[in-house]
Amino acid sequence: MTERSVYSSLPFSNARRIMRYDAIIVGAGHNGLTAACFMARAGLKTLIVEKENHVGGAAVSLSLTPGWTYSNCSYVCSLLRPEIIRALELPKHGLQVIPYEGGGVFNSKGEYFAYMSDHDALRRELIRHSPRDADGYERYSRAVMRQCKFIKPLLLRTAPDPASLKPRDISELLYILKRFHNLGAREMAETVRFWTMSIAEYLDQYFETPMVKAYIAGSGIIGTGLGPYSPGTAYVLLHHYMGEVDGAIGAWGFARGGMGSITQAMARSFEASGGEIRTGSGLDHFTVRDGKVRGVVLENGDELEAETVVSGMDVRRTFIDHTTEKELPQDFVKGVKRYRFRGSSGKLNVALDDMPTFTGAPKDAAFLRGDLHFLDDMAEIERAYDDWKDGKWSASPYVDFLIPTQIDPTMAPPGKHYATIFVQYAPYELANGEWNDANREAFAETVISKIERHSPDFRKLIVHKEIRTPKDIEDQVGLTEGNIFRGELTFDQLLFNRPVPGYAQYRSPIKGLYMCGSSTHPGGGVMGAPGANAAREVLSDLGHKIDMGLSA
Amino acid sequence: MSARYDAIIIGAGHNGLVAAAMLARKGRKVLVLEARDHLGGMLGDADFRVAPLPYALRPEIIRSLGLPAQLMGTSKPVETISFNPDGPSVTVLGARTIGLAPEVAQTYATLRARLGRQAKALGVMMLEPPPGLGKASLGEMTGLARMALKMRLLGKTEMRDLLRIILSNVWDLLNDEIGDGPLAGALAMDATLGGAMGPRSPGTVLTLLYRMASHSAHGHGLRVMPEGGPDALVKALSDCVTAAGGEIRTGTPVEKILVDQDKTAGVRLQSGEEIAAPLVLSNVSPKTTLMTLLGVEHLDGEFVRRCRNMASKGMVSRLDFDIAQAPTLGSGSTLQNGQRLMIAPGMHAIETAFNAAKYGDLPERPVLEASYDAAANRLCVSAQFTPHDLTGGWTDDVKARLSASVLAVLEDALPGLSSAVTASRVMSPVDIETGYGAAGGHWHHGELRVDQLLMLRPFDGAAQYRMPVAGLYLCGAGAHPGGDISGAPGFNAARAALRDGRN
Repeated sequence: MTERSVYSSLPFSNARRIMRYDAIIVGAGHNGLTAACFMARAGLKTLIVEKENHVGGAAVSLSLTPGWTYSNCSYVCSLLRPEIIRALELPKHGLQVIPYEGGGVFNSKGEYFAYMSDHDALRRELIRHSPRDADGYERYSRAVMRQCKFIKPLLLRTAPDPASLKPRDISELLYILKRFHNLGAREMAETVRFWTMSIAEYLDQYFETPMVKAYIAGSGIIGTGLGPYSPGTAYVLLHHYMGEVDGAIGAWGFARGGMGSITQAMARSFEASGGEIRTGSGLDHFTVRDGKVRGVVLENGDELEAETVVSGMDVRRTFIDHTTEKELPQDFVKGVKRYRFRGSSGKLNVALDDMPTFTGAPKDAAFLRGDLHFLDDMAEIERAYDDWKDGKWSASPYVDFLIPTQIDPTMAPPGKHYATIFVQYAPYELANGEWNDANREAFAETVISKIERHSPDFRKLIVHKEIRTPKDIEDQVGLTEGNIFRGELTFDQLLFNRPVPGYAQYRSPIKGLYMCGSSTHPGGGVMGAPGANAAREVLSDLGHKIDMGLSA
Repeated sequence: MSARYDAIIIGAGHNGLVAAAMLARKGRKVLVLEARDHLGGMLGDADFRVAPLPYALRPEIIRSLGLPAQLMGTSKPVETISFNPDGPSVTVLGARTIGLAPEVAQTYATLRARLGRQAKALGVMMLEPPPGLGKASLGEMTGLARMALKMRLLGKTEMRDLLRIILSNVWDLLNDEIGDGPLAGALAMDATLGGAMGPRSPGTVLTLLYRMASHSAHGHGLRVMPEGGPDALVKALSDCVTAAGGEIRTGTPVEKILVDQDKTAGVRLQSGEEIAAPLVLSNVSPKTTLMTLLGVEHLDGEFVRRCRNMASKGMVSRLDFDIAQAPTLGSGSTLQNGQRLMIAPGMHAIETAFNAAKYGDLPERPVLEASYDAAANRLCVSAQFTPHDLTGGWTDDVKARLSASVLAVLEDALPGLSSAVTASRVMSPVDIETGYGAAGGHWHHGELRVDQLLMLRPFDGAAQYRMPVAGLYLCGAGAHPGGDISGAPGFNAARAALRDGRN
């Protein structure tokens, strides 16, 4: 294995010469890397081209102020499929995930609810608020766990096309129906309800304490353009619950050194299998002849040939921005144009001079190491959503606030801290004018002043901050409209509907051109499943044995 | 207490009457008990109707009960006028429109036709009992299989399209296809009226398709006003019951459903009178039937929990304004009998009206469906979203405030109306609840939502009309296939009871 800590500006010749590969992957995000790893492991001469000077896409660790490293975009880890971690030997290549213990919510009365991963501790905490909620939690966690068990095997499978009569689609459809049927009558009903209900109504069935509900409800809306009262948000909750850290189901953790550690480990794994990465020049266009892909032309003029090209970009960029429309069927283009991104979140990364204190919490409370929120109830999140619908950022936003440096000291100088603050809701397009420096600051100010109400010393501890609006996330990371999942996780864009009905199996209308980004099934989050699934389809089309060490 | 009747039907709403007629025509001795002084439930009160605009009774039911065909078939379908604050109003009748640019009209007609076909495929399930989950019988599965086949027969493109939009929201669908405006507003009103969802809520495409799945001789999804108005429909149904030997008593509220050795034994009236019957069909909402009339002591804990969790928050208030002559639209034409006026100038206006209701408040500008009853010189208005659980409760002051804001919205479309109003009345969701046994004051006795449809309607474990106590059935809008004036729940429930009787 070649030792290279950061893939910064790999030098390569600007001379025009044509290079041939078995497969080219466009975009070195975690899905592009995952797909590339599996393809290189299968013996294909594989190249990744990446626009930025570093790999990672939205799973990066960058230093913007001396001494601090930020997880600039994605910030916590849980969804990355354990099968992929094992198959690509990511721990061997440097990945270490540190689980965090809990989390909590502070309300405006100065009270708090602490969520703890230790079951007994959580039960005591729930009883402190409501003994009924403690019992409700037992029922709730069993129900959610059953849903996780149902959906998990579907993540690393290609979604069947229900309108197709191909044996493979029919047998896959039957597989899902059989699994569904095996749940039994009660669970089948629960599953239908879970997939379609609002998170608010779902939680109302189990809990009565507003803070408890508000804490959990956040997972139902993160990254989506829906409020907790919108039907369909219970499923989004599942999307955040089906992960694990070292076998602890539903647990979340920090990748040591920031989220870039995941993609760095993938890049090392890829290079160890003989893969090549070119950074610093993005795709100009795909070369297509006679309905078949022949390679890519980069922005710097380099022409690269391959009969298999896999796009890690989202479906709109791939087909509207980088493909000639005449190469594509009209229906497909219509479907791609209709595909909904609709970013709803922003982010602040903050370097802190010291650990901030929280008026509502006991000093050094363990739950401060997890995800913190400042909320009274679910209605507050819904009102935040109402602002977004009207093209404004939320006056009282939902924040997912974490200070990873409490358990991962590598990201800040000794004694200093780093805070990652995910903010919802923030619109991609403002009703009144464009995003600019002034309103970006005003957006950050809204967030900081909200945190300040619960942590009075927070503001004065700020040494440096990075503000990312949905527009910035689009410009800097390539997530269209700033949607962190690369497209809404609503049913019209899930499973066989993602990204476009009839094209949900990673193949595109152009032969040899595949999609592997999060705008394909099963969607966003640092999961790696779209990349792995796409690689399986590519390899199967190329006649390779498709055992990738993934147990379905 | 001797069993003088084979079956008692609680509630003479249209579904109760359909169920009673079905049973009576099969020779069962039937008694219908109605708490109010009039028949027809939400249709029936000539002084102040909850449902002034009857929907389409299923043609199969009209045939099956031998009702006069002209009742629905030859009556005129109701035309919709959607108020446009920025130009001429848009008139919609099925796929036909007036007042739209030709391209938009064409796009809409294509969309309407496509949705119509998709709705028809789904509509197959309307007159089938919902299949049981995990233990469906062969007969029950054929209904589902027929629906799956119908969906396939739509062709690959339309089937895929249906599977994409089915759980989606009308906001996205209509913005993709026709853009926001008065036409989208009228369609989104149809998708949301009566429920607790705004146009942006996922699931509203399904409610729109649901409306469109109802059909009459005029085609899919058209509202029909029978000749003679709602009263003619109610009279035809009650005549059908009595002609077959059924008895109907009004002013006889039921207090309790009687149970003897885990079997339904009859009912006790509020007057104390007990009437025995081995079969009781309740047209009252599921929550009221089970929690109040039957009592939780006959039910297991999980069943009770699911019943209580059922979503049935009413959002519509009814207002009547007495006026001397037909109201005049801005264009100078008058609002006719058999027309309905939508004042929802776009989906955004509907969503904004929904915002306030989410937090238990009244919207500043409610969105409205209005019709003119020329015989009674009355403008009948349904206003949404006005939540059942209004913060501070439904006081007279609040009602007056609502009346004023509704009148202000009406005034935009019907200039000069305010000065012509001689009297007005307000019926809140709470009034609907107390007056009609509809828990939450919900028109459909329970939200029409995927998690409360088919085998999950009204809730898991109570979906096939049969309740845990033998002999007790649900026959109202709370049961599959749900609300509106279709008669289907009553029809299906009666068939379920008859089938059980044979075994």
